Amino acid sequence: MSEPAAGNPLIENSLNEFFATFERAQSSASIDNVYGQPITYGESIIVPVASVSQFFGVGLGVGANQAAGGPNSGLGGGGTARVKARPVALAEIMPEGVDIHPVIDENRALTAGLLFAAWAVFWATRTLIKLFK
Amino acid sequence: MNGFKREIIQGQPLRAGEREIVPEAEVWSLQAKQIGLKENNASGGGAWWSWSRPTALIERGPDGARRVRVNDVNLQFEIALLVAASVLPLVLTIFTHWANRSTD
Repeated sequence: MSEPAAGNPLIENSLNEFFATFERAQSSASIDNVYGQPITYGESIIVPVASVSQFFGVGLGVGANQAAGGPNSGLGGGGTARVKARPVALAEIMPEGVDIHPVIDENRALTAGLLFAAWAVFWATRTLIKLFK
Repeated sequence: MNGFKREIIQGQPLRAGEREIVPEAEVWSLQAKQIGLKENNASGGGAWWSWSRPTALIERGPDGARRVRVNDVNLQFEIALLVAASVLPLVLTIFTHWANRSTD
């Protein structure tokens, strides 16, 4: 590997932006995403609580040809990102103490339950066939 | 830096009368990035993933500190089903072997 690429402003800027993107992503994984804005309700303070997953992927290519005939450069890249937040609970902060109210995701529980039921039926049927064959 | 990381982070304390409530969360993150540099070009790519989940609310008051755990009941239910789904084939296979042997 030779050094000139690092001295090229276009390449340098692109690389700086590439690394800055990762630093920004790391700083975005903050506790403020997990615990929402407190809501005052009478004497209590309600804090929504969530589980948050984040993903991003990025790729780039930079070319800078300083050959005779003038500078010829190009930059290309792409990326994708996904943020998913699921409610976990509501925290109720009362004068007499803290209470956690879990949030039950019925759709998710039903999906998991149905998948498990299908799996159990498959294995039960397989066992019965093996027993009475 | 590339790699896997787990950390416990605490947020700004909330005031409720004489008490102070500190939210706490666990953050799992995975990062992978690579850059290739040549004379007149550079190319690279990378990915980053993180999962933040609440762990507890720490309650500090005149009568000491108390830790109130935050449980993700949906996740616990899914883990329980996953464990049951893994154990079920094992139990039924052992049962089949035992039943076939006892009928011989």
